Order: sequence, then C-alpha cells, then structure tokens
Amino acid sequence: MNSSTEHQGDSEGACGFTTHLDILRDVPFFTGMSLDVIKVLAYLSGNESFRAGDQLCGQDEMLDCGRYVICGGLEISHAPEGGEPVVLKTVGRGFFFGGLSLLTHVKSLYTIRAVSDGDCLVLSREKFQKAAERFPEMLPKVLAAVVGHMFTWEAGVLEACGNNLSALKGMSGLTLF
Amino acid sequence: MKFIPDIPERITQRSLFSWVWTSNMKLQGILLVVIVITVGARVLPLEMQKKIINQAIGLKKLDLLLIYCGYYLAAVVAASGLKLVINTLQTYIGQQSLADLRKKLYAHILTLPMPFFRKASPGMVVQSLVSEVANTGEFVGQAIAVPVTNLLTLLAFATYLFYLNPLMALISMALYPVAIVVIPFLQKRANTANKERVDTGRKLSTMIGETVSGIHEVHANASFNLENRRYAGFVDRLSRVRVVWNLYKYAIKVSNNFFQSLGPFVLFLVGGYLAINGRFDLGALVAFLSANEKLYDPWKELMDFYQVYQDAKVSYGRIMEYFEGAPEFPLEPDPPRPPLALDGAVAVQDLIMEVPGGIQLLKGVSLDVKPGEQVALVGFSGSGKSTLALCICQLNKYSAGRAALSGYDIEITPKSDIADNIGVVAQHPFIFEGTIGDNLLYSINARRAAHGVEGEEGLPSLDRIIEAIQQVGLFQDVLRFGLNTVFKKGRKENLVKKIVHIRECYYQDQGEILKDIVEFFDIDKYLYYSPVAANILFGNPNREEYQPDNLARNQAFLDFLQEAGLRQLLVQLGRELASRTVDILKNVPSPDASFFEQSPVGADEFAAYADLVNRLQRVRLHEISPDEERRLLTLALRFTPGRHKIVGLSRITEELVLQGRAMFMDRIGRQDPEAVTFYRREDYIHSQTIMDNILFGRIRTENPKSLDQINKSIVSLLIQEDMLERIVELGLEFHVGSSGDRLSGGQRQKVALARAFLKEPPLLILDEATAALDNASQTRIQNLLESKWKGRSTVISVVHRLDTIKGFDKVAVMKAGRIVECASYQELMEKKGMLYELVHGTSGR
Repeated sequence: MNSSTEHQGDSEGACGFTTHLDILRDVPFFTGMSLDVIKVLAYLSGNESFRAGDQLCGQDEMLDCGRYVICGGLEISHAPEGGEPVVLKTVGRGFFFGGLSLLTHVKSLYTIRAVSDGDCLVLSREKFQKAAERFPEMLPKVLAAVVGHMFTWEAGVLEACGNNLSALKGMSGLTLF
Repeated sequence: MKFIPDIPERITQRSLFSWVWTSNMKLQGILLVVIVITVGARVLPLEMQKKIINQAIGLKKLDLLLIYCGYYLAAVVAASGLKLVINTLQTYIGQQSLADLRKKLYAHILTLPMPFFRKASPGMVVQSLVSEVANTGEFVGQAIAVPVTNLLTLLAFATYLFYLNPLMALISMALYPVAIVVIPFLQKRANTANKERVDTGRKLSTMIGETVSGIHEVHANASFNLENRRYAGFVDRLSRVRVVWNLYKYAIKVSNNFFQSLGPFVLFLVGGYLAINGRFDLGALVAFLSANEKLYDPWKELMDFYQVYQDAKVSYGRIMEYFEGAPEFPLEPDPPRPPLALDGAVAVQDLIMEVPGGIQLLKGVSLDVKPGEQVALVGFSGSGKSTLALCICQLNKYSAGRAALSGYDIEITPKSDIADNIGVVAQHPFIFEGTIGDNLLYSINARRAAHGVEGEEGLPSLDRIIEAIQQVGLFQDVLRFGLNTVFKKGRKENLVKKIVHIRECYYQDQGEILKDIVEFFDIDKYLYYSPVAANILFGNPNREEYQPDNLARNQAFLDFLQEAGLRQLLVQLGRELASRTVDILKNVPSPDASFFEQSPVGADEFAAYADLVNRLQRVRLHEISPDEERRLLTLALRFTPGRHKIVGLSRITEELVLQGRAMFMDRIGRQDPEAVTFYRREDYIHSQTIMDNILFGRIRTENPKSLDQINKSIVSLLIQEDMLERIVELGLEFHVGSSGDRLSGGQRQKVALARAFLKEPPLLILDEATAALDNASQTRIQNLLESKWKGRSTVISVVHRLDTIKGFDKVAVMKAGRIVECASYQELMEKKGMLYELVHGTSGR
C-alpha cells in the first residue's frame, strides 16, 4: 500500500481489501486457489459488525454466506428435536463458518449467536458463485479442501470415541459417501 | 387464370417471388406508369439528336436548333427526375417487403419447437434476421421496376434502331445471344460459390457466438492460440470462398462489357462503309451509335438485377431451409373462438417422453390433479419432475400417452388457451430489459397483446401490484429502488417538499437511534460513505460544470484543487484506484456490473482504465496527458472509502479535503454563490437519493437487520405522510438491466413469481421456483400458496427442498421417469417408503 493512501488505524477509511486478502489466504476452505482468484474473492467480500446477542444464523435456517470472525466471540449451539439448545462451543477470532453454503443451498444445523460485540468478513453465496462461474478451476480445489476436512473431522470423531463406538452404530460413516 | 398465385401460409414454404406479390401493389402500379413515361423520355433525345444534325445544323436553321435542343433538355431533365422517383419507389417497396419478411420470419422463429432452440446458435438467428434477409428486400424492390424499365428501354431502343436501319440493327445485336448463353453459365458457378459463402459465414458466426458464451473455458484454459487458430481457419476459408465468388462475378461483368464493346466496332465498320457509299446519312449514324451506346445501360442494369436475383435466391433458400419447421402445438384456435376458461384439473395418463437416442425421460407417468389441488413433485435430480411439469405447460412435447387440462387434450389445445390459463415460474426465470413494472406485467401484457386488448383494460391496479410484490417479498426491494431515485432540480417539486418535511419528522423520531448506522451530513466531519467530490462540494451543484462527473473538466475547480494542494494527491489516489481495480479484475472473464460495485471504475470504462494503467507502468505521473489526468481525477472524485475498500484514505488526504471544503465554500460563496447550494436540513439535495435526503446522510452498513430497522421506520413514516404508493411507483420504474443483471438471483425469482401471481391463472406450474430465495421468503411463498391460492388455483410444484412440502395436498415422488408413490405427505411418511427415505436421507446413513 502506498503511503499516500494508507490509513492510520482502524477506521472507516481503511483499506479493507488487503485485510480480506490476508484472511482468505489463511482459511483452509480457500487453500489451493490461485492468488488471482483469492484477490477477486477478497474484493467481493464485505464487513459486518455484530452486537452481543445478535443471531448470525439460526438452526434450520438457510445459510447463504461464509463468515470469518475478525473480532468478537460467538457461541455455537444445537437444539435436539423438542429439546432445549445446548451450547457446544464458543469461538472467536479466526473462526470461519458457512463455507459449504457457498457451494449450494443448505440449512444450518446449528445456531450461532454473538456473545460479545465484534466484526466479521462476509462472502455471500451469490458473489462466490459469480466468481466460481468465471473461475471454474477453483471448484476442484474447494472440493479437495472439503473432502480433506471431512476425513480429518471423522478421524477425530472416531478417535474421540475410542473403543466406545456404540453411539455410531447403524451409521456407515460420512467419509464412505 | 389467377394473376397472383396461392401463397402458402407457412413462411418457409413461400417462394422468393411471393414477396413481390405481397408487396405494396398500389405502389408497384404507380411505378409501372412512371416507368412507361420514363422510357419515352429516354428515347426522345435520340430522335432529337438526329433532327439537330440533319435538320437544324444541316439546313442551318437556328430556330429549329433551339426548339430541338429545348426538347432534348426537357427529355433529359424529365428522365433524370423520373429515375429518382423510380429509385425512391423501389426502395420504399423493397424496405416495406423486407420489414414484412423480417416480422413474419421472427414470428415464425418464435413459434418453432423448443428443441430447435437447444440446437440453434443465437448468432445464426441474428445473422439470418439482420443481414442475410437484406438482399431479399433489395430484390423485391427491384423485381418489377428494374426488369420492366430496362426491357422496355431495350425494346424501345431496338425498335428505334430497326426504324433507322434494320440491317445495321440486326448486326449490332448479333452479339447479345452469345452473352445470354455465356453469362448464366458463369452465374451458376457464382451461385455455388455464394452458397458456400453463406454456409461458411454462418459457421463463422456460430463459432464466434460459441467462443463468447464459453469465454470462461477459454480463459480458464488460456486457449487463446487454439481459439485464434479455429477462428483463422474459418476466416481463411471464408476469404477463399469470397475470392472465388467475386472472381465469377467480375468474370460476368467483364464478359458483359466485352460483348458490349464489340457493338460500336461492328457499327463503325459497317455503318462507316455505308455512309462513305452514301447509303446511310451521317445524322442517322450518330443517332445509331448513340442508341447503341445507350443500349448498354439497360443491359447492364438487367445483368446487375440478374445477380441481385441470384444472390437473393441463394440467401433466401438457405434461410428458409434453416428455419423450416412447424410449431409443435396449434397456436390459435381454428376456427377462431373465445378463449377457453379452464378449471385447473390435470389428468395425465401413461405419459411417455422420449428424446433422440431412444432415452425415455418419462416412462408412463399417470397423475390426476383436481381443480384447486396442490401437488408437489419430488425426487432426485434427473427423475423427471421438471420434464413432467414442462409437458403439462406445453414446453415439452410428450411422445405417447395422454395429458389433459380440464378434459382438453394438451397435445391439440392451442397454445393461446394454455398460456391464458397457466402461470409458469422457472428455476432460473428470464427477466427482460426494461423496468421492474414492465417485467411484472409481462404475462398480463402478453395475454392482452394476444387478444388485441389496448389501453388500460386488463391491467391490474397499483394496489394489486403492491399486494403481489408484498406477497412474494419483493416490496422492500422495490421500495428501496424507489428510495434510491435521484431527481434533477426542477422535477417533481411537490414530492421534493414532502420529502424535506418527512426528513424533519424522521430525524426527530429516529435521529438518536440511527446515529450508529447512518452517517449524517456534518460540515465538520469527513463523510466516508459519500464520494470525495461530495466531501469537497458539501452541497448540491446547480450548474452543469459542478455536477460530479463534470468536475474533472471544470477548469475553475481544477485551479481550486491546485491551490488547495489536492490536485496531485487526488491524481495519485486515482492512479491507485485504477491500478488496484485492474489488478484484481484483469483476469476475470466478462465481469458483470456486480463486479464493479466495490470500485469507482465503471464496467464500461474498465478496458480504457486497463490501457491507462498499462501506460502508467511506463510513464511517470507528471508525464501523463491532461486527458489522462482528468480520468484519474474522475476516479478519485468518485472514491467513497466506506464502499470502495480496495484502497484506504490517508489522514493527510482526509484533512486536506476537509480544509478544501472550507476553502471551496468560502471561494464559491464569494465568486459564484449560485453554483452550489450547500447541504442544509431545510433544502432538498438533488444530487442525492430520496433515501439519503430523508436520512440527511448515508447508511453505513449492509447489515440486513439494520437495513430492516431503517426500512420499517421509513415505511411507517411514508404511510403516515401518504407517500408510500408514490415511492413504490418510482421503484417500479427501476431499470433491471440487460437480462435483469441489476437484480439478484432472489429478486429475479420474486419478480417471476409476482408476474405469475398477478396473472391469477387457474393452474400454476412452479419449477423449483423458490430455489434462489432465502428461508424467510421461501416460507412466505409457501404460506401464500397454502392460504391465498389453496382451492383457488391448481398448483403443480417441482420441489427440491423437502421441508416445504408438508402443506401440499399431494406429494408425487418420482424416480427414473416414473411416479413411484403419490399420496398426502402424512400418508407417505407413515408408509415409510421413498419419501421417508428422501426426507430422512436413510440411504446416506
């Protein structure tokens, strides 16, 4: 960034593009994409502020964007059918979610709510799809990242279950899809 | 015997000559009369020539010389004037016929079966309608005038020659039969080359169309050399064919000239001999030579016409061959009768749809839907859901079985009746260029046009349109488009006054609540959500030269920037904005308008700025031309830091702009106080949108919740002030861009849904019509179907998301072209069959 345009401090005049670029290059979902494509995605991304208590997405609601938490805290919860919501995890800076919704129409299985004021990067499905139409070569990279994540996640679940696999009985395994 | 032959109804079966018979015969008649007079006017000078030499000059009579010269002059003037009349008439007739041909051909093409459009390239259709038909029009215009004029002229001249000397006349015309044999032979070869030219031209346009459509693949594979080679292959072939075609055409012209030039040779030889021997007078020889020479013009025109005819014959034949085909369904009832009013009952029995290759997309589907019943078609992709829905609305033609609407067989029911009674919403609906209002009324206007309804009859009221857009969840979007309207000064003054009044009410009500999400216009603060130009001017320009887009051309403003120390800084900012935009978007194939929302560079300016950025890599800023500096300044003045995040705004620039604002106010106040009206709460700001005027500021966020909060408060205020309808009306005038590219996917689908609902058809076919909608909008549509349309319209809905099907009366589950189960949702879930598996994803567990 040239000194004549560099903004001192975090304000509304700051250059969001370079921040977005640095973020997306670090998110595994975009791993493997060429710099040219990530630049376009960073350019198409926006910023969104949230206040403590705001719901970023609700269980069973359609997800239509990917979000990366720049600052602030979120809690992830899930309510079983007819039951009370259970908070599964609290996440903060660096957490990325909604990547799969960039690929197709999916409903969230979780509710994500802000526990403190914060800010996140937002990339909408519509903009991602427009970029994907123009750079179709990025989709196999995304697919590889998703498949890699599935395997790592399921291996983690199996490891966490150890010898106690009874909860998984009757399921054939996500990675066998 | 009939003078005008029977003309087939189907355009592709009509002969080229049929267009002559259907051309403006009244004008053709006038043309014939003019031609006969013209022929007389052409022959008269020949006789005058003879009389001038033999009688006036020979007998040395000055009075006769003046009289004959006068006649000569009058005949020449009349012939020239009449020639102009003939050309005008034949152009008019030709263009009328061409327009008629274009309209009829377009109407025919639109009715061709859907499979034709899956194969035909748009480039080919465009070329046929725009350029290939042109020579047919040329031919029709000439078809009577040219042969009749020139044959009559030829005949008149020949008669005159025989009258002068039959032997000489016979000798001078001996060569024409030879030409009549040689020229058609060459023309036949030229026609073959012309056919090849038309075919190669079509292949070339198809190839270009294909490359443009597939530009993503081209860029993805960087297949520029490969595509250039393919293109070069067609161009070279076309060039070779054109050379051959032109060579034959020139050969025809040369032989024609050759035969023509031999005429005087014979005349000089024989005529000279006879004159020397005193058997032929000199005046007659001059007239003879002159008449023989004049024979060339009509002969040449006849030959040119012959070529026009042959070219038109080739192009016309090729066009009609390409578009040969009949509509799959009758278009109108025959004999005419009032349109059918169907009740929405659908009966499908053993329906089969087979596509080439023997693949059956539907394998004997049966389905009964009672009037007002709502049926969901579900199943995996490729199971035949959409195929079945499209068969019911005549977009697909089934191969066997029977499908009926209210007892009328779909296969033989006229399309006009089907279209009158069915509303179709596709997954990716097409939105036409024009306003949102035009698109909402598209189906209704189509029905009105089909029945010749004019004026306001059959149009829904504004209240009904508002109701429809509210039902599909488009109201907020239309309202926003309306609130984004910018008025020029002097327009809609009453509205402007009301908006200023609303601004005050709004600020008192909401000012405190909105201060976090709205950046209010404040003279002491930099406005991050307004362009640099608005930050400097901080007001409403009243003169053209102070309009934002003209500032970089305004010398007084440029001088001010220089004095304020901003000029170089802004040029540098413009350079960075251009470089960054070009760097990000340079490899994006055909970026649409949405790619330019985050940059001050416009989509149509991108190529020019890319060139400028390229040049700036070789030259320093002080070396650029004034025009280049102006373009960089334009970008900097448009730069809105809150929206254009590609570069940041330095503190120095920000502070200098704020100082500049004060300087500018002071200077303009002294030098030209009328040029700008500064932002004041009591004035309307004509350079800003209605929304910005109500807020007296700009919204900082795109957060849907905040926007919703603002919208709700503004709507309630607009209702209080009785202004809501007026703003929605303005929103309906929003231009959606080419193919609706200024709308989001969801907005396009909502427009299509509202379009179908406004039509209020007895049968609604929804083909994944809510796929692009968010959850809330989808639920809204579902509730609407279950409340407003339940029992009122039959609904057949192809559904992908299974959580929306509980409210349907029936669910038909399809698999591999068959309905495997069909009953209510409850029954099917209790049965634990295919639907249960789909809902619970048992197969994936």
